[in-house]
Amino acid sequence: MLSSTLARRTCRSFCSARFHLRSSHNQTSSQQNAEGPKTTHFGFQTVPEESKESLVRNVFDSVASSYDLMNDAMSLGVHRLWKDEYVSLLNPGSKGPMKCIDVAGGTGDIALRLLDFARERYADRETTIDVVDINTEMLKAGYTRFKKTMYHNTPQIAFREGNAQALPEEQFPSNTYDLYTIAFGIRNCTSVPDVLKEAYRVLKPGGTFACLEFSKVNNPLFGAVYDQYSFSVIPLLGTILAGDRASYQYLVESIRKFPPQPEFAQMIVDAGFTTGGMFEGKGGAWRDQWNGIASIHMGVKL
Amino acid sequence: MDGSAYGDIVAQPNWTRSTHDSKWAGYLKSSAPDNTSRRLAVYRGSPLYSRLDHHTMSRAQLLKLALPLVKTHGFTREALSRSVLYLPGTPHAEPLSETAISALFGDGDNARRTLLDAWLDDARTDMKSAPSPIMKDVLASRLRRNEPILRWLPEAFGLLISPPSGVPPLDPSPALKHVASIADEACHIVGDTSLGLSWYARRASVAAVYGAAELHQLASPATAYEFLESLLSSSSNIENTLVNTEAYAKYIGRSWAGIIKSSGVF
Repeated sequence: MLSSTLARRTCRSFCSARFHLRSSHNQTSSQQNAEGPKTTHFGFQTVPEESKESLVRNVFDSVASSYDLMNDAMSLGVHRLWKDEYVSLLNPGSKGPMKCIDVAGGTGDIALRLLDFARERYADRETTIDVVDINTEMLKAGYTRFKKTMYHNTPQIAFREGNAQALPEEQFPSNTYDLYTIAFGIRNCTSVPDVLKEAYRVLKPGGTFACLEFSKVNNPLFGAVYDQYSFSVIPLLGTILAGDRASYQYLVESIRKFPPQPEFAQMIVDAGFTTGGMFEGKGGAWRDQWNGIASIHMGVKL
Repeated sequence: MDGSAYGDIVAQPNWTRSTHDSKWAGYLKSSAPDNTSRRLAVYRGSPLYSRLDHHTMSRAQLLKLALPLVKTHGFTREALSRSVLYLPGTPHAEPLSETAISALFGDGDNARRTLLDAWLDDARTDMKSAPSPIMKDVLASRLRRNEPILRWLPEAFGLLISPPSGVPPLDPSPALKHVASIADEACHIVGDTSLGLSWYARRASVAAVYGAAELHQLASPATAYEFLESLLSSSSNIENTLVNTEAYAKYIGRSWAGIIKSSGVF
């Protein structure tokens, strides 16, 4: 549902290159048959790995023009609450300026929230954010949005094109950032482990990885209602408001293919991060939003 | 790596009570920062280290390293953030950021609660090192653990009974759980074999005695041990009374059953 948000961020970071065979993870369910090429999922479909990037790019090109409208319509505005909760949890600026990277953050909504939070709460005008996205159209949208703010043409914000799975070392040196954020973006990457590996590389020791992503609803009854809404209402809204049912159908399906909370938390640990306890809630590795419709995962590079 | 093994440790704030933890605690029984490196070196050389994932252990390590810092920093996020300065192998130049503390231990006061829980668990485990398995000595050794951090304890207990949600404003159940767990541990150490009602009576009386002695210690540390001793002697009378009450209640019950039967009602 809130899919578009995520969706668009997601698409930016589609990754191409290396692929980790990790059949236990839904997200990276690619398989290599002895007889055929590597495959991965695209929604509920199985597609050749190398074609996923272009397929996802098509989806996001398709939804980009109606992105904001659809986000609000599908989530009834709830995605804004989740993003605010996400940013307040990160608490930027509380102990001085931070160097942040917001991956798959093209339109800059998370970056803007982070900068506003640091400025309004802590009078911090030194925190900087590099917004990275694979999709130049999204970056342009973000750049335009920031031109309307006080941060435009300041060292606090920079927009850079890059692949979340393979950030160029010369542009994004190792051990550089205090905070790595990726909101509704990692789901559409071909290889989540590669994204996590890059996140680990660019973070300084002591730096924090934070991911906001759709997840699995815990309550079966609520889950049934949510499924009905997702598979019936969202594609219908896509048809009515954006004239594109297929793209929104994909977004809903891709959410279902993303690994559940404990599995994704384990992937974060496998990438080398230290997380909270393997449970939901405060002090745990993840915090569910609205019974698990979305979830915030965090890890620290020690 | 063994998922279940480290899963237990990472998932449970009171890791020191798990089987794996007992081993872990044996290798890593830190009480002062200066001993930490040496103890961790011992741990790293142990077979346990190969079975446990280094990264997932780090949260537990940080908590363990933060415990000696409570003495100077109290149950604060500051103590948690400084723990990373003592992390062996990967020395950090700066304390952990607020964001990292929230990620690992919870935001706001929840991180402090995590630290407090870890400290209470550690202190309870340490009761086994009492000079003798006698109730008085076991409880006294637990009281002694409070001494270095006595100035932080009133605030810590305030935190303990303040629920994270703020509703209700005060919740005494964590404090009751605290004294109950100490009573249970103490009974286990002294080899208490009571059953039935006396099992509950024994633990309830020990919990009440310890709770009163701990409160007394906050106000008057010097006389806490005498106070504990006097309470223990009077509590045995209370226990006897409870056991007698049980026997008396049974007797009354049987009498009433006999009266009802003989009345011909049934």
